[in-house]
Amino acid sequence: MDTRSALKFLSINLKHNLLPHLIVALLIALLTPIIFTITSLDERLAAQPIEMLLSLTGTALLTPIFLPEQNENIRDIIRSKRTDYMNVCIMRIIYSVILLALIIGGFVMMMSFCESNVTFRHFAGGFASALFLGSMGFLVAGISRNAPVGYMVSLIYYIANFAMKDKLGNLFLFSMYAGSFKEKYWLLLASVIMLTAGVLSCKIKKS
Amino acid sequence: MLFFKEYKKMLFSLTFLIYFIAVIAMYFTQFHNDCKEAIYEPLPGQESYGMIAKETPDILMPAATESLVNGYLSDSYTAYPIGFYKNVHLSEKKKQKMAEIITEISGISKEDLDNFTNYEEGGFYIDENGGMMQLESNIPEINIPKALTYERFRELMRKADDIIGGGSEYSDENIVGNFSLVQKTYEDALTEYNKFLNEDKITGAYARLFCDYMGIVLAILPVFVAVSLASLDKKSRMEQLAYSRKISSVKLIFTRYFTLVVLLLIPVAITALIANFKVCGMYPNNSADIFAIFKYSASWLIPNIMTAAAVGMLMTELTSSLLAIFVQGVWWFISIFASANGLTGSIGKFTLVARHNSLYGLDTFMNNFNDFVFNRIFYTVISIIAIALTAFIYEQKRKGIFNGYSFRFKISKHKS
Amino acid sequence: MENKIEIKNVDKFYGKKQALYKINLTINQGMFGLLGRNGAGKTTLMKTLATLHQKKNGSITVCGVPIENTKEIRSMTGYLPQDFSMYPTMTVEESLDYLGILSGMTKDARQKRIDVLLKRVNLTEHKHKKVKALSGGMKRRLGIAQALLHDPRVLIVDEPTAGLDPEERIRFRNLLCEVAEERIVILSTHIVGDIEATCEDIAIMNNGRILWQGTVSELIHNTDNKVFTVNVNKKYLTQIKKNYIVTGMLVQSEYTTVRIISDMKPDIQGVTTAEPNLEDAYMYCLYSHGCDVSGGAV
Repeated sequence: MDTRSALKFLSINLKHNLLPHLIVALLIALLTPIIFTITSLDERLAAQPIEMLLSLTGTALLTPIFLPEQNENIRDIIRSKRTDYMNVCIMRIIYSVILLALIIGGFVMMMSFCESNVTFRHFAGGFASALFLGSMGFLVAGISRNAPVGYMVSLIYYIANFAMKDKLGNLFLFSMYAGSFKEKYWLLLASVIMLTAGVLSCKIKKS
Repeated sequence: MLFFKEYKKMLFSLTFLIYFIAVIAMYFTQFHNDCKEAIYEPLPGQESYGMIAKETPDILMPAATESLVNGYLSDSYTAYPIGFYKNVHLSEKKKQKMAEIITEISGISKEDLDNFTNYEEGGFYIDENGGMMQLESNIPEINIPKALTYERFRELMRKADDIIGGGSEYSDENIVGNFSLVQKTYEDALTEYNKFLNEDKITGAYARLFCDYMGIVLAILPVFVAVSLASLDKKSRMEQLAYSRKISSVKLIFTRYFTLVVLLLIPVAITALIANFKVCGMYPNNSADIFAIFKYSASWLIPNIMTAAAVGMLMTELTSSLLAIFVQGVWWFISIFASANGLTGSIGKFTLVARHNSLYGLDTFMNNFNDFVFNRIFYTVISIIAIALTAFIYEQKRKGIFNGYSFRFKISKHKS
Repeated sequence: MENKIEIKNVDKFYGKKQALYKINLTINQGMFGLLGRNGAGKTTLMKTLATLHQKKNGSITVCGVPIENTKEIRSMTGYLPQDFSMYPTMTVEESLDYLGILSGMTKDARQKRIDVLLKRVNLTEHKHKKVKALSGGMKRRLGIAQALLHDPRVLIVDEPTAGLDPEERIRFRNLLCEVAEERIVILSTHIVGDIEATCEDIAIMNNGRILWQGTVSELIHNTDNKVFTVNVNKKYLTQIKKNYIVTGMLVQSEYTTVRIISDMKPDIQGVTTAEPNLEDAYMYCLYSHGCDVSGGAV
């Protein structure tokens, strides 16, 4: 695929496949400062809005990667083309992850502007939590071929973080708020594994 | 007949399975986990009977002052101005005003406050139950001036509340409950215990706790089951066929809804049954009301299920998209956070998720009882109206008059 | 490179259920028709050829390229499934552009080719219409356009005329015939009329097996002197249906003209031999392979 075609691929996908989900992600980002304070927070408190609400932008952006082709007839058409469907998904994951990073990065910068004590860690930690929720939704939606199930499992895990707290061990999403960062590496690792498994699932599945 | 067909279709769906597991897990990790020790009859001469909120200036004034000084030093005040948790930080001008109040009530001058560089914020640690606990913080010594009257103190607290923006711990509604906790006397404890035994018949108190926990998940998860059910028709390409069948839209949609609600109640009934055995087993020598948990569940939890399921069905029929998940998600989120300031008896006229996270507080609950009844009936009626609307839309689609509002995140049909 | 598809001993399973049994077929340039009832395995075979399914064993080569080489196969194959769908919010032009990108075409190539194809399938004036606003026929024409977009040497079309009105159907067939002058076109259908009008070479499938392969005239030739017509009173109809394959019935006021197939001349008064058509031949083929064809035309 040449560069011009790749850009066109991006713009068509953005317009027809990604836009509503991007809007949902942005609405979540807008809802965050309404529910939580984001001004003049210390380092630990600043983690709260990022981990406890903004992380759901991951679910919004990554769960629907397979959604456009949930219609089997469309999937057949796409798969009959030379470009491997797996590559289509990988490209979508890449730009969704970039958008996710931009949203979280933008939010963290806004917090910094609002005199909250945020560092790169807040960005990285928030991104890891969001990516984890998103990858989980993506993997489940991919395996079950059912996007609502993906959203459901991702949201249940999110709720479990309020109910179970750090009993979730290394996969605790709100660890920065509880004063620990090491979980973020595990979340990142688990995300990469789930994303890989999700991508491979479209290869393995017999259609 | 139709009921059983629909029933089978839903029972073996993946979303229902996940819903089932999640509800059961919620029960065991929360309610079941909380029921470790029975409540015993208080005996005279015990060291402590727990705390109760009673307006006592000698306790209230130092406690509120300490809290306010703490808030000033960390520049962080907790408030719920519109029901939402808000962590408030003050501008320099407001800080100045707050310092004046603090000086008047604590005798600490603004210079001393600002020079108190040694201040370390408490920080948090996680206790063995997984709760986040605040460490004791290190604040300047407080000497409340003798000349300060209680009336003046309350007036200053109202001012402080205004500066914070309202809804803070220092407001008239909250200050007693937050800062004037006193030890219960033996009589207090005994009265409470007798209410627990005779009015709540034991299980009543547990039923409220049960419903509190279960209500959280039941206000959101049914929407997923409803959405995937509504899209099932499309997926198996039954839509065209279903449209041309003779059965009336009203009958079809209401049967489907009724089936869905009954099905969604299965794990609730199971957990209620387990809870009943568990609680009755904890009090082998008392006669408990064996129906209380079921009565509470029916009135408290069914409206939650009905609402979430109705939103799922209506929005999916209307937009053929996954929008319902987002709408219910936001509503649920706001409802949960709006009630975060008071987990006992937090039942407004319109709150979707009613909270009462305590075995105590029957009085608080009964004070809000009329609101509670109104609230639950309101949601039941709203749900039925929503389903009637769904049937209407379905009928229009059948006639080919209306094809649904178009949103881009369509659920596509799927070959079975 | 030779222009043909060779399928040798191909088996295909869905889990434990076998869907294709030892398929052997050679498909040459031009139109090739795959005839069979619903569920005969036509779609499975076509999806296997389009690399959407994997076979269990056997070998398939398309113009000398083994089917396992999916990338190369996909770049020389165009596929139109039974129910063609595209992202509903995309316009006709955008859809083609997007699929062109996925076929690895450059921008210039796409632009040129899309213009040509839109003209050819009569969609030029609808190119800004959204896919969801297209009629069934228009959608099918968009489907054929996307299948031809990257100028494939092989075109696979599954049940292309199902659900089209008679006029659309004829237009669609003609379009396929034009296309087939330069390439291999494989067409599957359960409608005998489609094959009759377009194909020279055909194969008949049933229960995952190829029952017969050859030319249309050979197939019809098989049925020479086995098709009869007779006028009978209505009351004998049930009995006739029980004893013979009935391929046609014309009810008139006093009697019914029945078209029947039989290995031997039936012992009924007034029977005359008739000229066999493809439909008769197809029914006879199914019948002579032991398929249940009672109860009239399939």
